[in-house]
Amino acid sequence: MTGHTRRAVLGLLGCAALAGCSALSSDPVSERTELDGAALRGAVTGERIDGVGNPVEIGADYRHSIRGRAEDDLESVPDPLTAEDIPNAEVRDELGGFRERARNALDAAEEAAGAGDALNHLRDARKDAAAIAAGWAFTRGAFGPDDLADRRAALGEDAAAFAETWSYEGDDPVCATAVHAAIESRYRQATGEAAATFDREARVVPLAEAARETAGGRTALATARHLNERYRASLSDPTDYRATIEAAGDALAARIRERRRSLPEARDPDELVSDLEPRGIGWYAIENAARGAEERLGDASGPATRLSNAVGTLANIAAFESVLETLRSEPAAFDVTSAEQVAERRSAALTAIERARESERTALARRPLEAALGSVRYADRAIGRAADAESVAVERITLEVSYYVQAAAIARAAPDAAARAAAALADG
Amino acid sequence: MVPLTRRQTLLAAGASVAALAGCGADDTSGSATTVGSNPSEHVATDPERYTLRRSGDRELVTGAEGKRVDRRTAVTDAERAASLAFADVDGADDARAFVRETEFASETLLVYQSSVRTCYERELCYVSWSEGEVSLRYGRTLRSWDTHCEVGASDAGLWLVRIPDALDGVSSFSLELSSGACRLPPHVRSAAGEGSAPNGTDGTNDSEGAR
Repeated sequence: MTGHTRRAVLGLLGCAALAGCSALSSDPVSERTELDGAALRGAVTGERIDGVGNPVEIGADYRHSIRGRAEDDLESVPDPLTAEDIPNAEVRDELGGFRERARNALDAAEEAAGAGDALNHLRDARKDAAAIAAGWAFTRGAFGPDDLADRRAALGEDAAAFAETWSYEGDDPVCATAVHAAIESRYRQATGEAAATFDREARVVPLAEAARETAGGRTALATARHLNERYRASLSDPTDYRATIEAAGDALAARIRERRRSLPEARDPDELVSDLEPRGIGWYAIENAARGAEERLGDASGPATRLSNAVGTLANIAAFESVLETLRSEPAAFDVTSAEQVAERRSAALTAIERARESERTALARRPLEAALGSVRYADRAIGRAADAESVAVERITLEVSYYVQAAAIARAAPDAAARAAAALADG
Repeated sequence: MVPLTRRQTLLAAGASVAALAGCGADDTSGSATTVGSNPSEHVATDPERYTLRRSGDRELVTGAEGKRVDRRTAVTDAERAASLAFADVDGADDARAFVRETEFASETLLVYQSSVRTCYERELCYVSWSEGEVSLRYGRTLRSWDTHCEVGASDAGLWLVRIPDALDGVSSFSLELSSGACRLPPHVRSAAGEGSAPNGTDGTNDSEGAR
């Protein structure tokens, strides 16, 4: 693999829905295939992954305002904090940690490839800066539980006020779905943080952490408002698509139920495929794919999120069928015996994501693409850590490589699932 | 300093038992109610207890003739209790009184001694017991921001906990220490009532003896 940069999609979500596991595989095996650590590191860092961004372009002024707020908070606190400022050294270190993370996030925002990534880093910076500012103010007697409660109450009121002005307007239902799903998730985050409880007896660090989350909710609401304003400003003939989106969500939910009826009842990898190596790449790939196919639509933040999630679930179902078909034909199809083959699995995933992104209905494919990229990024980090060793047993990374396999399958399935959703919207 | 006995909540695991609130320093102990499918296990979220702490690592309590006592010791009789000797630190008299006032006919005294990082303190989340077995669960939280302390330094700590049950003997004395404020397991939380603070629901924490 070469070290060139290629355009790909950055997942905004973690891979929990796909993987649900944070530990490296560690099952003992009698025959071990060792991979060169340095080559393995190269395999998972060879291509830069750029971000997908938001369905509406984030304005530079908006990003600048978040940065400014973070910098203001940081400047409100002495740097460095001394033993005279904060006698408890552990508390001092904890507060200093917020500052360090905030600065790292500000730096990362500068280097981010896209506005969406930059915004995520700025949000993190804003949260950590708010935490140290709140912690410091607490020690000066200028901030306390009542103040935090007031902040949360104000956040809740502002969120309610925003909801009064927000409707599912758009020029077309596809973009409206993508944009309002992005707004819904941020609105839900803001209301969630506004309603969150905290320990009023908490001391400085827990209170600072609570203030951090409130700042996250505040930023989420601001971003929801920003997305809504920019999107509405771009519309020439606004139409309220809420009912259309809800109907499409119902249609896809029915489609999911229908598709699931045709899936094998078995979920155990050994029952689904004969001759699989236990806890090998194929074994994990089919286990994860089977779990993804069963993913519930759950309590979505709103109709646009529900529809987006349904696209993801349809893609998961198709990915499960695809992985199953491949493994039943060749149980060792995804196995690797070299770092180069690890790179090939990863590259296959990124290529599939890239192609899906270039498909006609990208906006509706965001959910599966974000999930797929979340898996790639997780696997990159986990394998990268494992590759710090001089050599790495293949068995140590089978679960992680299986994430590349599943990401590729989901991304390949995403365009069809998105097209299904687009058709449902058109019918609505 | 007096033992903190603001509220004593006695719970039978796996059962919904009303909290016994408002107990004072002279509470009658041994009033644990046994209810539910697992009557051998009991939990108290706010038992009577006393804490000593001082700088350094010297022991705060020894046994007869200065012999070391196990870091975790369950005392089930007055004779053994009388053999405990406390270091000459502020709060030692109250610790002696706490031990002396234990009614071994209906109570068991748990003694736990350990080092604790100077910037932290331990909050008792709950004590659970059944015949022959006891377990303490502590949460570790940062002390107040204006407490002078350095990273890496340690204090000696002694925790005395009185459980309202006269155990014949204790063959297993386990300890769990979690990072952060107390998180009660579901059966304790549900029995204590949702919405209650994890411990010291009247806003109190374990008392800390003078340093």
